[in-house]
Amino acid sequence: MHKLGQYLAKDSPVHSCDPRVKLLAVLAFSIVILRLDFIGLIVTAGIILAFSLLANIGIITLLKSTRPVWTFFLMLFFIYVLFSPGHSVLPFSLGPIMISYEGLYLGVFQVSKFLLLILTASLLTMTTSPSELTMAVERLLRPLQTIGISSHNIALMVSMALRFIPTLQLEMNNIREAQLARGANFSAGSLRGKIRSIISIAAPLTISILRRSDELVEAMEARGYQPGKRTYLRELAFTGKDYYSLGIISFIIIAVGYFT
Amino acid sequence: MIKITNLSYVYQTDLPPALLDINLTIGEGEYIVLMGANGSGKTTLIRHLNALLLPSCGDVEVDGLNSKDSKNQVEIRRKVGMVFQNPDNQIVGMSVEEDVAFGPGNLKLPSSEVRRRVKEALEMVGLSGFEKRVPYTLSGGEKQLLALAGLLSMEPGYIVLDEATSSLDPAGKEKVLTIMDRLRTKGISIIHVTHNMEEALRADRVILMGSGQIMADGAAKDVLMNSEQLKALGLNPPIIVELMSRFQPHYNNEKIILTVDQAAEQIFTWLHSNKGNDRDNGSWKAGSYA
Repeated sequence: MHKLGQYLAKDSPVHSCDPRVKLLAVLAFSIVILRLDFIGLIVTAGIILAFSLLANIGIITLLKSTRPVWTFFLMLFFIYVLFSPGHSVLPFSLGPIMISYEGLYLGVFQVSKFLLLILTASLLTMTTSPSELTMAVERLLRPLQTIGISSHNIALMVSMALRFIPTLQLEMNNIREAQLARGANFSAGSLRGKIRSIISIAAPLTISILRRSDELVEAMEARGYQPGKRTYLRELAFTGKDYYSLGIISFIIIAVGYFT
Repeated sequence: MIKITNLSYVYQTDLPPALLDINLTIGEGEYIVLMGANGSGKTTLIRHLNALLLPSCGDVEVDGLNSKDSKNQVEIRRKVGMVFQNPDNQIVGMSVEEDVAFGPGNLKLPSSEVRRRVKEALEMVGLSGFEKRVPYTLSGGEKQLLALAGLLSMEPGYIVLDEATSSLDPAGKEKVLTIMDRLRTKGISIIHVTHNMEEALRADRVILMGSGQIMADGAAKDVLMNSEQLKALGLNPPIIVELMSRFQPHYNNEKIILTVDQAAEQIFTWLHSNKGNDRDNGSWKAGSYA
């Protein structure tokens, strides 16, 4: 099963494109998507499909990757459908709850917008490894150093947060299993009991996170870490191909934004 | 050379000192095992070696660089690498190669040099081909090797293993120790904190600690043969030493016996001398009892 936007290592022009170009393109596309009409959304969906094929990622795989947010889409759709005023589809209504033509249109329209936003972001993360993304963030934020904000520190924070997600998930599972072994019941009981169960995981997990951060800081210091400038395994460098990609993507975004 | 002079350290003024008047010299290419019960001061001592802790009193000098001078601390940390017990808490990179590149990156080395060091370090620990792997998918032993590679990429002169083998299986332990043996031949000094007597037998020198002080410092064979002292410090003597000491009242033995092979040879000699007339005149060969 594909997780939301999980990186898929492939050999494609989209994968090999500079991550800064991809990140900027996604930011620009997201702004444009929020301002589009229905026709614009259909055109953008076509563009996303084209990029997906160019990246050797099937549209089904791309759509499946959004599975974790389907419930959210469904809820959003029903909120628009049931609570939008307009001409009723059915000959009756339940107080303020009414299925209207306008609600149906708005539901489809808004869900499509969110779906396209998620698909654009997924396409970025599916074609760009977390380390490339971190590197892109670091390079794009370098100008902030002039006002005393270190892009190196921000990049390190992002990379460590990503690095520790699976470790902390594992830790949480271990604590959960330990509590289950001691008779905890996370599925049944009153709300109060459930809150108590959550605390029985959250408290040791917090202590463990604090202990881990202490040890991590020590290990980082032992490896010569000092906040501020550092060098990397690979430095991002714009090639002719990246300028070309940037030009094409800028043209597409401006065209979509202007004509729709 | 690491030179420790009159080192004392207190965590809190209302508590007894964690280290008291330590004097120690660690030479090039030495393999030192540091032993002691919990709370004896081992960890506090080794944290002084790479300036993670600074002396309350006395001095620690690494190749002439005093750890109290803040300008020296990054260079001291480059020279003295440290591997901790839990590899999960020392891996910072999102991929194996990125983690190994963390140290050289901190030294602000050019990318080409970082890549060369990463490649060499991964080859040294046998993790070539793992470059793109995500650290959490590695086994415990592989993670510890990754932590070791991260340290080797800084090209240290001294390596401190803080119970770094205690959570590994026998194969993982052997792998780490074999790498240590190889590094010694390159002139790198190893300071290994362990509770494992078999590991201690590989050292040139064993230092015993108790109550924040050095209680014994000498050749492995001399320190580890002293069962009484080991027991007084809350340590179990090597099982072979313990076994042979049971024979001592019956067979006076002056030999130093620390390994299984040495013990087997001695027992064979005793058996042969007692029942020589009933047995063939064979001689014991290392490994023949395996």
